[in-house]
Amino acid sequence: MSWDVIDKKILEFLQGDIPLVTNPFHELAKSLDITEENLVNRIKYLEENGVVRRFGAVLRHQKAGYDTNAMVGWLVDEDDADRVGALMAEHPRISHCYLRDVPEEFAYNLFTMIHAKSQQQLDETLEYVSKLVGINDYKVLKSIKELKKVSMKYI
Amino acid sequence: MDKLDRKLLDILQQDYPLHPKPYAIIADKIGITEPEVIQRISRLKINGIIRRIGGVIDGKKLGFYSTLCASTVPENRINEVAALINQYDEVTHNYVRDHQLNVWFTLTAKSYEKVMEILELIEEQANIKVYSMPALKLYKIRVALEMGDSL
Repeated sequence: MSWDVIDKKILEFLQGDIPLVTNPFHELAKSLDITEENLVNRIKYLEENGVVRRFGAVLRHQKAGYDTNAMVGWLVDEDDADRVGALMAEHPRISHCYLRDVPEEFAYNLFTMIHAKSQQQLDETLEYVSKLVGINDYKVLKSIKELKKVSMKYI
Repeated sequence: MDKLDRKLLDILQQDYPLHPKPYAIIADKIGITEPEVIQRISRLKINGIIRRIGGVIDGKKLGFYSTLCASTVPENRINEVAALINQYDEVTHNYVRDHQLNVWFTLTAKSYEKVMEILELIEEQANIKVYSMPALKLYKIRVALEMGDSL
């Protein structure tokens, strides 16, 4: 089996939920005809080259106590975005931060996802971050209803 | 959820041992037995705190294109339009949000062309205008939700 084929099977395995047993890599290694050591090393390799962003548990925010979450758009001068983005990235309650190409209808171009344990904590975080980066013009896009949430199947 | 569960969640998220027997390693680390580690994880899964254990794949590295889309949908058409949008496997997240642009969803597909094709189909089928806001720069993507320390 070529590494291309092996990697594809590994990614297919990884994008799901691996079995909760003492040796979760055993079955896959056997079917790929490689050792478990080879398999975990290959996963490490895929992590190092960035195809696998991280390996581990994926939690449900709400159930983990972070039940006040908001997408927030910040109005940022594009030339200033790297400075602001770097500061945002360091904040533990900000999980995602992107500069986006936005239309005239929605000028808020720096997007963050903020996770808080209460409305008060969310407000405090917004106030703190706003001061930290020196931007007062932002739009909180609170989610009113979840219409769909699934994991992307790449393979 | 007790202190040990929170510690376990931090390790499982940030420091999962890529090793043939990962739970034996975690057990050693936190001073409980391997069966107890597995039992605790099983409970955290049943409670819904752990969605899954696996890899988070960077689609971009595999050549995938993705964008955030937003649209203004009349209140009384939201369910109908959501059903239309959600039928595509390429749509992974879709939320009603508190703004004039009230429906926000993500589109991820194998190519830019495929994303645009789906976007146009959605506009046509739902008779709505969809704004696409692709990322220009990525500053952060979640590493983990810290459980142990109080944030």
